[in-house]
Amino acid sequence: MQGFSVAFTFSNAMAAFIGALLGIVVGAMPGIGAAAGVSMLLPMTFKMNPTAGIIMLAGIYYGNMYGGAYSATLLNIPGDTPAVVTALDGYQLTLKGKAGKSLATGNYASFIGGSIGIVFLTIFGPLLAEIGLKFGPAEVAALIFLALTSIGWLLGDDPVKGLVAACLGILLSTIGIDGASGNARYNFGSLNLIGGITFVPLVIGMFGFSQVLEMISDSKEFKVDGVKKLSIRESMLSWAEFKEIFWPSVRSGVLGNFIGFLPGAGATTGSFLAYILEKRIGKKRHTLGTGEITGVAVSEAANNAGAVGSFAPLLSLGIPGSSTSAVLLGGLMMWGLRPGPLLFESNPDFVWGLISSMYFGNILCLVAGMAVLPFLVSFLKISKRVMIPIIMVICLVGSYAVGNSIFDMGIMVVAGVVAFYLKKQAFPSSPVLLAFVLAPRLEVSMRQALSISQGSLWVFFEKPISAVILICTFALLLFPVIQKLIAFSKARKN
Amino acid sequence: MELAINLIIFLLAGYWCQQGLMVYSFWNKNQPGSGFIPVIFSVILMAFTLMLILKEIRKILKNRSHETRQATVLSLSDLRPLLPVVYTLAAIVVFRFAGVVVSMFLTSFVWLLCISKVRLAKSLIISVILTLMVYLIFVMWLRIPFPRSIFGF
Repeated sequence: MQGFSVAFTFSNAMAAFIGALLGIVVGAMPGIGAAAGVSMLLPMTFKMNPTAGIIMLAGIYYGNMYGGAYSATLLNIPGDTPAVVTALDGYQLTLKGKAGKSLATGNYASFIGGSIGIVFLTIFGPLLAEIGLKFGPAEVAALIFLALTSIGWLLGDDPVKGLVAACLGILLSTIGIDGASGNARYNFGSLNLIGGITFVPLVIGMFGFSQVLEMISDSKEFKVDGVKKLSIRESMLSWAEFKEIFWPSVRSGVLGNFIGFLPGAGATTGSFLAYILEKRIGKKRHTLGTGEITGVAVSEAANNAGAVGSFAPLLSLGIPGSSTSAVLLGGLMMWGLRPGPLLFESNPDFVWGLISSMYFGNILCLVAGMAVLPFLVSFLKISKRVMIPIIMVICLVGSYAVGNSIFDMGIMVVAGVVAFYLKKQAFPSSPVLLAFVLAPRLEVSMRQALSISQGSLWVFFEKPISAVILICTFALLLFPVIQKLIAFSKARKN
Repeated sequence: MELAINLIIFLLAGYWCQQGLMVYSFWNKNQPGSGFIPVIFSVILMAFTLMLILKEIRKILKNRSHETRQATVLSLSDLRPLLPVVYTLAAIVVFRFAGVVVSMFLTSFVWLLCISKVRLAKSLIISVILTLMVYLIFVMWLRIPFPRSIFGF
């Protein structure tokens, strides 16, 4: 209840409203994505109080999950990766002349999934934090090591490339002052790099500016086919249609939320798994993919629940579940808040204010999502040619604003170019960011644990929690090797 | 391209490892030194990139003639995204000397008119609105001390 009183102050309620609305708008823009949206809008929250700032950024995140379905349905281009699955049935529905039904289904399912996620976060967030309190440096180091491995493993098609990206992020994070000894490292003699690479320009470059480069390299324009106008009345679902999507949405919401709890898995994996589950056990399993509202519902419910679910490890353990929550973690640290088990005790107003704002924000997203339907077609007609300079200006101004430094603008450009070329060669950029955020904590915990044990590595295997976590980590690391060996022996047999 | 990227990463990791071992110390009086984490992860990174390099070399050797032709085509298209990079760097220089309002207006207007080929009136309207938004949010509201032009904004 205390959280609701925080969430319903005028500034926080407005932050949730603006965040949700901006999230829907950014999410609807094809190809931009939640991480880019949150990172580009992060500088706008500098002057807000931390609670209002993070409420707004969280609103952008889950609003984005709503908006992602719009371009997936109308253009067959997902606004963000979790909406890839939505496009399978959503675009087919558009071709059948049922775009409005598909969008409304997306909104309802997103609301159901989001609500499930928020309720689970309310219940399991504090429990996870209690478990986190029992963790010493060895357990924390082992957990971060597992998170880094699974992040590299789960994001992208090639686990090795994911792991390369994660290691790159770790090396980047070592630039600047070493927290333990106070020595400057890897700054190449530059005074600007003594404090390390600034987080906001890095993230804006990696997710915002790289998008500009991608848009330039792919000159194909987006086209809204077959839909001229949408109306709220025609888009509303009948009672029978609502009943058809309700249980699959609940099922997918629970699954998506569970997946969202896992570090690195995020909303995308959740929506894929929910769709596969529906293909196996759903009533409409045989016609899924041909334009079924259930297909849209399961994907949207799972990705919204996953997005909210990723807040649980973020707030309770300080471990982001996705690249967007890594940006949020960076934002929290910028405001001097340290996410982790103690956050629930040291800043209850902030944590419960944020969680309570999600209840309110989810309702706002549903209302705003339905209200924007009539304007959506003309909105999606905004050309890439116009979007490019707008994104460019936001990236430039945003990267300067964080430290009033021209050097940061340079970091933004370099990060954008590097992320673009890495992405072109199928190196995922999310692990770079997640590792960059997590590595300083990994280093501190690892060095603390080894100092306590006088340099003995046995400290990581003495306690059952860290031992189990490390065994899982090594299993994940060895899996691609074993997989290749099996494939090799099969090929030899044939 | 992929081979070049992997080679750069490999060399970068090698540099990190060398500095970690020789300059920042890996292990010091029974405790990990400043180079501990950089060395561990640079070695892991070198191992992974070496795997990717060998894989790529094998692939190139397998389809040698085909790859050479493809590489020429790729290198031309790969350079196209450098246009906004050069443009943005120029915008940063203008930003430094002409201030945020002038530079952001010019950045959007010139791109819209000359590169995106948007009509003059439309380019002007979009650029003015965008610059106004930047001014209101970042200068008026957030009070970011941006460089100023001779006009005082």
